[in-house]
Amino acid sequence: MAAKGPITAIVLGGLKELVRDKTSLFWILVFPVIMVLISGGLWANPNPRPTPVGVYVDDTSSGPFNATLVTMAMEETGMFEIKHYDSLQSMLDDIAEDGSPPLGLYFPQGFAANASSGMPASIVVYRVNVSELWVEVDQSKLLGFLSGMEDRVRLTILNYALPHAPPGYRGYLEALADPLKTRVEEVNTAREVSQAVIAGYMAISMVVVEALFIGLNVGASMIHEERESGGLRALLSSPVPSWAILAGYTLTTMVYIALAGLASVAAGFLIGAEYRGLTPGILAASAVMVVLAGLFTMGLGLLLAPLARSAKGANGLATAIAFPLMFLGGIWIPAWMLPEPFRTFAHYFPLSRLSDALKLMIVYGGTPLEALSMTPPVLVVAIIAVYAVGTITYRRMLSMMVEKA
Amino acid sequence: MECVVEVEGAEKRYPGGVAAVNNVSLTAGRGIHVFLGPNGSGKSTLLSMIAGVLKPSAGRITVCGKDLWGPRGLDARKHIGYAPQDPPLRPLLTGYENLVRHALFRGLSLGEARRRARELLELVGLAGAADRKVGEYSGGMKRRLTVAIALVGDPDVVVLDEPSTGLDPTARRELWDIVVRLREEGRVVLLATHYADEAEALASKVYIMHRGVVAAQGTVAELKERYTPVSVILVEAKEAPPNPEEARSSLMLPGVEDVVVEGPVFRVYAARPNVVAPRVLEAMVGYGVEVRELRILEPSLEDVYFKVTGTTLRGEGVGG
Repeated sequence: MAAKGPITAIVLGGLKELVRDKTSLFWILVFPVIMVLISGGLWANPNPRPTPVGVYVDDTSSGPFNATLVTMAMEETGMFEIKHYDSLQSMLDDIAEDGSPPLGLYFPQGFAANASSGMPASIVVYRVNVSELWVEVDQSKLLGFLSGMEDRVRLTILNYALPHAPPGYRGYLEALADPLKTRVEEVNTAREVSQAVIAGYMAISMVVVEALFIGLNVGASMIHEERESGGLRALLSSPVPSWAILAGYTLTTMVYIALAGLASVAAGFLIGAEYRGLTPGILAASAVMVVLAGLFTMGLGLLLAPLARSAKGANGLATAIAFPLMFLGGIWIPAWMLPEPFRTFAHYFPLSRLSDALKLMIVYGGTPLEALSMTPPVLVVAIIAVYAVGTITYRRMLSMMVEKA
Repeated sequence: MECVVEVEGAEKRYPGGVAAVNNVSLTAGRGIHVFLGPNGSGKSTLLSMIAGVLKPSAGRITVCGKDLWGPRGLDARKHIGYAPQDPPLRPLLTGYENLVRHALFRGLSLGEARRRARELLELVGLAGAADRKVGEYSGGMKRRLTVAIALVGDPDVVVLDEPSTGLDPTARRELWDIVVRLREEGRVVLLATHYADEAEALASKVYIMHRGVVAAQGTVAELKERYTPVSVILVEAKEAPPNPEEARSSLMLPGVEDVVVEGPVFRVYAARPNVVAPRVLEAMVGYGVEVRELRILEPSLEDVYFKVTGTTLRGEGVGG
């Protein structure tokens, strides 16, 4: 018999059930929007939080280059939030208590006099003794600022000294004061990390995350759900071939992923994502990649199905596997940020490759050809193989149910 | 050509060698074929095999000449409509949507499916609840919808597994009307039940199921004549006798064929009940049993079931 009817029945039924089931609606339409808005909004924030820095000035000496000048300059950059203390101990107590502020600056006696007169001036940086990434970043910011400040001090002192130096020594003194003339120049690139790019990155990542969750859940639970609802008995007694049932569920999965994907992309717009080069070619290539992602996750889900005894158990198992994969599979968190061995795993994980290929086209403006080079034939073959083995597993489960129903 | 269901030596064995159905053979043509037995007698397993849901361990089942488990199994299933014991319904869909869904499974076009769904909702008396979610239906409504699902593909063979379980008397009567109509339309109806009155009201042929085999088969009249040529004197005592076996022995009087004691109820089988009844009453009083009521009953299918299997339709083995 024609399979069109059963496939239509499963897809239409699935869509109607989605609209009426608040839990499914949440996971497919609301969850991606929330994730993109919150995560994208945080990461793509154009005004990152200033680093809190405690300051205690013990210096009573005077000079044009003093602690007040340094702290004012720090505040003017907008990168630091200064909190002044009356004693060194109270500042250290705050740092030690809960790491807020994580950094402290101590200006000892004679700082202004020494710094202003060309003598070595001491300054002490305190940091909370934890190895968190953010503390490292904050410390680098502060040391970078102080290093720049140091260069300026040296040049100011040099300017005082230069008129008194013999001409032959001036170049030498200049080099002594500023031996490495480093400058930063911006180079325009298609892959600049702007707010729009980060927002787009999050939105496209979410499309793949949804493919992961939806495919695994539908694949793992579909046969159990049909059995528990009694529908499987009706289906087995009907002239519907088993492949048509599977095709119906696969198509339903694709529709769910498409809806979740549209919700993610729309949420990306809200936080300023710019999707580049949405040409028909890129849209078609993206659709192929999303379908491949859906086939892969559905195949994995079908492989999980025999490990569960009920639809609830299957959903639990699928979520338990999808959740770590979302973070450690190079989808939500970029692979380069992951520790080994997850970085290597993400490199070979098909969803990570598909996710990168999608971002290349949609976020960074790459061409479909460039994206295709990230999805080599072996990857496509591997994805189809996973789905095929999942299909065989499904048919075996169905046969077992026919034996024992 | 008339569609016939043929079962030849069908068996269903589970791991450990337990036979749920053991070497059953039958031929079912037009009419209502009722499989009567308590839970665990094998009737649902047999109907699951005939419906194409459960693969037999041995034997052959053909529907309208097509082997159900052979290469043309899907063709054979086109002729079958099945209402399983657990309603195959999606609770978030309406009654109408559930029917359309199953109609599409049966290969109807979307337009045909919609028309058929409306027709069947009318037939089973659910037209007024067509657009309500099935999750809000009562048990009886779900049963009726399940019967409608069995009919959605206009099948030659309708398999109904305990369709009236849990229905109130009115709903049961309505369901029986539908089943009778199916018979009048010339379909083969296979119906499993543990209600003797249902079998008696509907059956063209009754199959007495016991421990996975068809222990007896025939029309209701044939079975009664064969197995219960006697009437039943039903005596209800105030209390159950302390020793049922002794009580039974004391009632095995001349003219009494058999006695069954079920708690305070005594069933005394006798060919001439009017003659035997006073003696039975006298014997019971002599035995010290206080009698509340005595009635003479014509034998029922339940009595036939007991005579054939030694157990009641509740699955209990009783004294005698």
